Amino acid sequence: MKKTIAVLFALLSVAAFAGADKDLNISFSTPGPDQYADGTPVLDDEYYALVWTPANGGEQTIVCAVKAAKDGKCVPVLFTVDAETYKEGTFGVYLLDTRVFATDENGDTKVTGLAGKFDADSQNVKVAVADGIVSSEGAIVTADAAKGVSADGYDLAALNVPAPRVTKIEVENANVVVTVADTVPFVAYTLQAGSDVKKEFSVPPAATCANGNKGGEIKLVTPKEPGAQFFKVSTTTVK
Amino acid sequence: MKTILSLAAASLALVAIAEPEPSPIIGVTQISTTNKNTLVAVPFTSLTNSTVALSVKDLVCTNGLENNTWIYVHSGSAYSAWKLTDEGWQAAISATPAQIIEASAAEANQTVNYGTSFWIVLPEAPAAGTPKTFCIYGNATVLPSSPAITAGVNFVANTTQADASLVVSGMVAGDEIVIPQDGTSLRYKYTVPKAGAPAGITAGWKRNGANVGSITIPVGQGFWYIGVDGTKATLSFD
Repeated sequence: MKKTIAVLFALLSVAAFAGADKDLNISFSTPGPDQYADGTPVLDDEYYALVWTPANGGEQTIVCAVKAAKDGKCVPVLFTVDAETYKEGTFGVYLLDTRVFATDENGDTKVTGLAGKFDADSQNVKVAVADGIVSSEGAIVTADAAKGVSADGYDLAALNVPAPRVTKIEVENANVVVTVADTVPFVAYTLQAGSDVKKEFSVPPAATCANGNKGGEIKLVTPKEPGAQFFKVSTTTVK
Repeated sequence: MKTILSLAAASLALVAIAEPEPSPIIGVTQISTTNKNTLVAVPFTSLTNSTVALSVKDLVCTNGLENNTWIYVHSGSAYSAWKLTDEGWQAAISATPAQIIEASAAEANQTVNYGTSFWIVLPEAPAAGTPKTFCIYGNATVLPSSPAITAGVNFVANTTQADASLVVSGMVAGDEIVIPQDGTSLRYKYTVPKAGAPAGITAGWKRNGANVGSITIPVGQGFWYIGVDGTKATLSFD
């Protein structure tokens, strides 16, 4: 299922042109402000990556990645790749998300960068900002920026996103306030309620939904009903 | 100047979205009482560890309760107490209210088990027609069986989270069920039915000497099961 997440870049200039020595030069930059998939501004020193998609259906590969985020946008970057190696396929430009959340004593989020040669384990998610760039040897090729990005590439299971954990419940006036720990910013959290622990749960009409945050703790609110209520916290990828 | 940033390539597999598991199921039960002393059910386990008992002060929401409300938890002849202050529940020791039985010592960190019950004592009885409302909460994912009944006073609970009919098996003559209420406790006593008496889930249970059709335990209600020596009673709810 394809989900449009957000418009990341209003403008993204991409140009691909072939040099005389058969190298392919691809340059790009963004006017900013750029955002992660959770809508928060991209942090300085975050990575942008050039990804190769073979036409024969082979695996996508990160050709190269560069620490190019500065002041909420991508500074002008020039990638040079071997045109002979990358034939019959397309390039895409991806914003990587290498943040680590709340790991220090202040609860701050830091960009960790990539371990080794573009180690996928060091990424949270990657977001396509331009795709389908054709390597056309001997000609200058330009491509428009994507007006949206796809969540199809998100792999939350591989990222070890923890199950949310309820740490506190309060009843304030006519509402139940549930404190949820172990949240992450690119996931939305929702309360589902039921009147019987063994039956189906559903999202109450007036219940709030919230994105995870860097501190890992959020509060969800839903109206209190008389008698007994049961709740669980479920997740969806941020749209 | 041509700058080659990198020519290395690493595989990056794209896979379908997989959402994290939902949280364990939690329960919130609203209790209304018109009594100064209310025996409250424990239908939950700890939020932090569903396999262990929970401290009672982590079970009772303070919202809706005034300062000087007390919690008493009994375990055999020992009890622990908490007093509600501006700082929340504070471990404390108090003179035992008359309704609380067999209290002789205090423990500061006593926990309560699923299926048991404890006292909430309000500063004063609610005004007529305006019941006091408060909430208890906890982990409802695991539904263990109720504690075994032993001889003597057992603090037990309606664990269904709904008004429910009590079903008892293994009782012996002389066993009693007491649903305490201020001044008007409902007390049921078991007498072995005569041969040929009609069977039923409450056959043999009498109140004030009269047969009863059923014994209904309200949601959130705790009660006593007073077993005589040799009782093998087990409780469930319909």
